[in-house]
Amino acid sequence: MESFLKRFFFSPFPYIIIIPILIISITFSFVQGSLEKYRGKLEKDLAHYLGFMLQIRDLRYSFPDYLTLKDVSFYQTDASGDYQHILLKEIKLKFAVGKYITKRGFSIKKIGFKELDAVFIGYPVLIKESIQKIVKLINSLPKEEEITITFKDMQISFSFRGDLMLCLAADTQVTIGADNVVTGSGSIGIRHVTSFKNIVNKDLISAGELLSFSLVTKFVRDGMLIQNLEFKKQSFSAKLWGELHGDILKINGFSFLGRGVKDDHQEESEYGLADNIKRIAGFKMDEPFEFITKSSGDLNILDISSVIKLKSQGIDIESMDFNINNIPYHIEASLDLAGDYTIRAIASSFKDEPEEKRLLNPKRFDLEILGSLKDKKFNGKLIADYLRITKTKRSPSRFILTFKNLTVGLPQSYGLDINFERLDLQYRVGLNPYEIFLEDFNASFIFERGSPKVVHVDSMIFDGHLKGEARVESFGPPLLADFKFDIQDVSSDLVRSLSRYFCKVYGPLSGSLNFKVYPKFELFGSFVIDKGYLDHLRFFTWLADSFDLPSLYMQNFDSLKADFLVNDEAASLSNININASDLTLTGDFRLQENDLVSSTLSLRLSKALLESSSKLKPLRGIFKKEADDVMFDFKLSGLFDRMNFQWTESPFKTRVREAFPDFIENIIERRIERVIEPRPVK
Amino acid sequence: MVNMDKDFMKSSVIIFLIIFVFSLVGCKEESSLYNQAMNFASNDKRDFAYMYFNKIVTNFPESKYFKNSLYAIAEYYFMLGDFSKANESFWMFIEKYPQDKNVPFAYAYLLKIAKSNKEEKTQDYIEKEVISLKQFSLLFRESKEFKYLSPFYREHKIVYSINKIEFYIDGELFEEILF
Repeated sequence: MESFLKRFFFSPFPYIIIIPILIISITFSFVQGSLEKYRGKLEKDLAHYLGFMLQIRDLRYSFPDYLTLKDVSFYQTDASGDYQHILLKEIKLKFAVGKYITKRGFSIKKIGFKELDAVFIGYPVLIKESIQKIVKLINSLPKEEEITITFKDMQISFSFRGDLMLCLAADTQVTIGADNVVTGSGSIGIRHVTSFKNIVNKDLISAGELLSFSLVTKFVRDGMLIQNLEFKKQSFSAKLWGELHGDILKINGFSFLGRGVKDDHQEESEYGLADNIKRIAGFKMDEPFEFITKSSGDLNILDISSVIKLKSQGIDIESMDFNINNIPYHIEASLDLAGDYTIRAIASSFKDEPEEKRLLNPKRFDLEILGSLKDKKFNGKLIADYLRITKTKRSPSRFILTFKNLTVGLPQSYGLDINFERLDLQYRVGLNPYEIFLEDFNASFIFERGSPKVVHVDSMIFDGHLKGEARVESFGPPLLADFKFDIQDVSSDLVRSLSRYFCKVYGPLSGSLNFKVYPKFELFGSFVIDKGYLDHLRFFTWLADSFDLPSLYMQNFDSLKADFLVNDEAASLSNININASDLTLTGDFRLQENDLVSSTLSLRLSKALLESSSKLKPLRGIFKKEADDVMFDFKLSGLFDRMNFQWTESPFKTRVREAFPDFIENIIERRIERVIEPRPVK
Repeated sequence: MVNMDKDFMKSSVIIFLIIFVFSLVGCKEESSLYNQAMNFASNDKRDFAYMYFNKIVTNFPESKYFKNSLYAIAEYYFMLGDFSKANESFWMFIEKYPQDKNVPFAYAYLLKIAKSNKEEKTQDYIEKEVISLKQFSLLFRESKEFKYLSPFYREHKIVYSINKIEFYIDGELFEEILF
């Protein structure tokens, strides 16, 4: 036994085992012990440094040079109820343990963040102070060695005082060099959009393709020089560079979106993005009107040059200029996040073109957005000016959308609600103004597999009611959807602001309305007006003037029905049926986009009505021979404001012709012509 | 003083007489040119007729014969196949005399030229202009006709029907607008 102990203690083997164990134990005890002491100080110092409250549940040392922080949470709240909360399941630090023991200095070589969950409610992180904090932090780091920071399984959630939450997923590795050059790369993407309140467990928008990025930037005293910032996705790439000095950020660069950056084997989409944008907007493909022109299906954003001012609570895009497929665009915007959120943005194309030339440029547009968000309600205005070009016309056009108290919310069931108290849409094409207003508008989006499939709409329209739904195949681009609405009891005279057909028609209008925007814009349906009247309808006024039938100036009717179809080529009324005691009017009427009319109509007039006319006295004998009421069939053609008229052949017309000699026919014809033709040709 | 007044009166009268005589000569010259042009046109000597019509257009822009002469040279250019000059002259004619009876036919010529040049937008514009020129009603007839002779003695006929306008020259269909 003795000899065994002797052999044991005097042989080198046990020391090979014991000494490292002792070193590990001593180091562990020393580091762990001192860290425990400093934990409170670390929390306090970091909180002061980052401007966040900080809590670390557990702090552990792992031999030889790793430090693990478990369940670390940073949080900040303010009086408005906004808060930021960052929760890290694990932070692993690699540090210089020798330096720590000998010099009591803490030098980090590597930092690894695992499962970072960050929640920003209200005010976003992109503020001057946050960026300045990062600049200050980087500049203050020890410069002896480079530091590598790894973010793994990072999830960042944003909610801007609303019910919706945007969750981003990211994996990133950043290296901070001794010379303050920061290089980084990683990927970022939308993980999902969901309910902040967590009422809904399903995602509204599910994960998409991740965007990979790489960054080279040098931090200087009051900012940083962004030497290279690149983003890449399967069908998107961007390269940016610029600088941040104080609160002024300047960014330049270019970007490609489309086939140019796709894999060769990838199936190409049928349409380019530019086409899809046009389709969403409901423009015909063969029309030359384009906000963005097509260039081999690609969307090339070149010559990006921007000056952005970062404010304490907001951001000002002082100018942002770029070219998309050779069309120059300019944007100015101001987002103020102090108190109520307010936004003002203007965007325009060909801004620097001389005004006279610009007004005739089919690719020019101006867009202005003004609004504010208060108590989760958006009030604002969107104004767009552009030149609408069709086959025959170039019309300066403008539309103005004015929202009152627009809210976006999540119902108890799975979906999304959009409501507003009132929406006014004013639309002007050339000299023709159109107006529509909706009140108490509610739209409920029902989702399937992360995307909305059915939208139920219930609203007041003018003084009536609108109810219906949209079945959406794809929000696009292009927007593939069929809209079906029923309209009840709208005063038809209010609808005249939408269609000149109704400018002299009065009565409660009900009907159905369908429309789709792809593959081409089409609005169709039917309507009926019961117990209404026609007040100086042009055709009836003409009849009343020409044939001394004054009752036609103001004609009551039992019902007025028609089917309608509006598309880029024409506005048509078919199966027209006006039913009144003394007359019936049936037929079709088509007004083409170039203002040309084509119409076939049948008019039944009662014998009593015809016999009341002094001008038709010579025909009374013929009327008496008619078994029932008298039918007039006729056609209309020409310009809407100067329609031509033809009385088509019928047994009654034959009898009239037989009753008069030719010269009387000529006299009647000349009289009629004088009535309808105000502009004689010399 | 009285003598001075008399002298002034005398010289004024002489100047007036000179202007009057020269204007009569000018008038006579225009009239003569036009008559000669029409004579050549009636004898189907179009080139000679053109020379005289062109003299009026070049030298007498204020003349009462200018309108017909301008139409005539436009028509001559068209018959010659010089569509560029015909185009220019017809548009000038329409611009100067938008209410003239020849305007629909000037448009018909321009429509023919636009079709030949495959200028769709111009075609659409011209067709709409022609349709808007005349509003008509057809009570007992199927169509309405308007006839007149051009300065080159070509019979121009326009037939208005409810869904088309036809242009005939010397009895042959020249152009047609459907609507």
